[in-house]
Amino acid sequence: MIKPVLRQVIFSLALVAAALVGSAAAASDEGQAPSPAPLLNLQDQVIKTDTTWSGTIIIEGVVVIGRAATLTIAPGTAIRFRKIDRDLDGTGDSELRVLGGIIAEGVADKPITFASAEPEPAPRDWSYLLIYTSGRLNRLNFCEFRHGFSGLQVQFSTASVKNSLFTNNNEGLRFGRADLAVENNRFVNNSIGIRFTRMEGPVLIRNNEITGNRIGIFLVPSGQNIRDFFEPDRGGRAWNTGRLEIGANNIHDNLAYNLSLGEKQLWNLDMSGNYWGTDQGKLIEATIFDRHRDESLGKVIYKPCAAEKIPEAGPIGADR
Amino acid sequence: MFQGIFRILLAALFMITTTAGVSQACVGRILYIGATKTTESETMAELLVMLINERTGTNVKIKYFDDRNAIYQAFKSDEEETRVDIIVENTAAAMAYLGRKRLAEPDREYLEVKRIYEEKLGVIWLKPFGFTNHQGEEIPSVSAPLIRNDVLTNYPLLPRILTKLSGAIDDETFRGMIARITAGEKAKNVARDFLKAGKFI
Repeated sequence: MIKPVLRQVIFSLALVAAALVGSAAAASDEGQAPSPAPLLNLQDQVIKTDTTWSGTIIIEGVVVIGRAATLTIAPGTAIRFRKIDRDLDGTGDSELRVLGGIIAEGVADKPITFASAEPEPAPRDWSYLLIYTSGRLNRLNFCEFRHGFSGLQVQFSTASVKNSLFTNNNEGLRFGRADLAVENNRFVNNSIGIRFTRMEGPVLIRNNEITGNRIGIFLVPSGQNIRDFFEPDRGGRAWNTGRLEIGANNIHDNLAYNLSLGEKQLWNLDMSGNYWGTDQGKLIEATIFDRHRDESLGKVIYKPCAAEKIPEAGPIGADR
Repeated sequence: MFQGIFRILLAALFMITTTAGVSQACVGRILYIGATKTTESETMAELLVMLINERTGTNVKIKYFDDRNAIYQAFKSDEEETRVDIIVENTAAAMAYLGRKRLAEPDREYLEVKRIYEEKLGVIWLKPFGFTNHQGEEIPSVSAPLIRNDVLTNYPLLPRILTKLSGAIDDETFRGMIARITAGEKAKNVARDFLKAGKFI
């Protein structure tokens, strides 16, 4: 009992020290007197007014950005989530929930990082950054998500997610019904890179690097209804045509499947224009779970596919 | 047209969620499978965990118990921390639990325990896996997944998924899996191999 507590204390002190050292170095470079970087500890609360975060933010509990508020996060800000498990389900309950708006725009050499505050971090240490029923355009650029149940979830909201890294999460990104642009990101070493439940849009997933996950992309209906409310026929076109575009991504070398259609995903999915690690159909099909393996499922249309890696995929300015 | 519907949905959800409540459906929760620490029980539990998780994305965990009575206590519990949602049971053990004599015909026995469990316990017997479990008795016993009726409200597709294994595991296949685990392989790996080979995952 004492050992974990002691580890927490030491780790917290280390975080403070790191923040102070970083701040002092920056101030010294500019010839100013050093001043400590902000270190903010937040527990369960609703933030009701526009707020800007910088430095290091420690979240222990559920922090909600209220509907009237926009959270702006400065480049280089570190948001760290403590692992608390109130419902004893093995997944950390700390989360940042945005009902208002979020603008998190880092830069290539000063990304905004969302990660575990634990001394020995692991996937599921915290829940997620959840953008939920937000009525604004939310922007995330040059962000990093680590150790979450989902790094980022976007549900019933509008968001742009660019140049960001999702790694060592249970799921990198999950979305349901959303107006979403996901471009130039890297999804690596997650159990699932991108998971989504709906084929509506407008959703654009382009120029992303999706590799080294257990499953690269997982499309599974939410399973809430026994009956379906999709229109049954769209003249033979794949159901996502004109709604959900997934093209010009490098989707390769994911451990179980590059792409998996979940139970009851009955409709064809247009995934043409992506790179799958090879241009040989049989090899590509072996990395896709669709009608080829379960005849009750829809078919993934992967042709025409890119014969070589798409050089534009991945974060801009990063080593691709 | 679609954007209009989208706006209406957003407005409706705005009203619904002003107290910052979040639907579990969006963010997931955990299903618990109850098992004992026997090779047979662990094997079947691992099969169900993997099948449900891979095909639906639902988080599934195994809770291990010392004996069948403890599993049934958890199966009847309404407490989130102590409950289990799914177990694997065989008809011989079920008849013993009900304090009834075995029936000579396996099909009749299955239908009998299925009826009584649903009426008295609120538990649904899904279709048998296919293998028999003699347990040293003359009358063959069949095994099947059992699911709580109240769980079906939140997971209406579970029967559809679990029924994929109906009749899929015959005696020889089951013995083969048990033999591999007895020889030292992990139950999880054996379960994965079986599900992959059968194109279940």
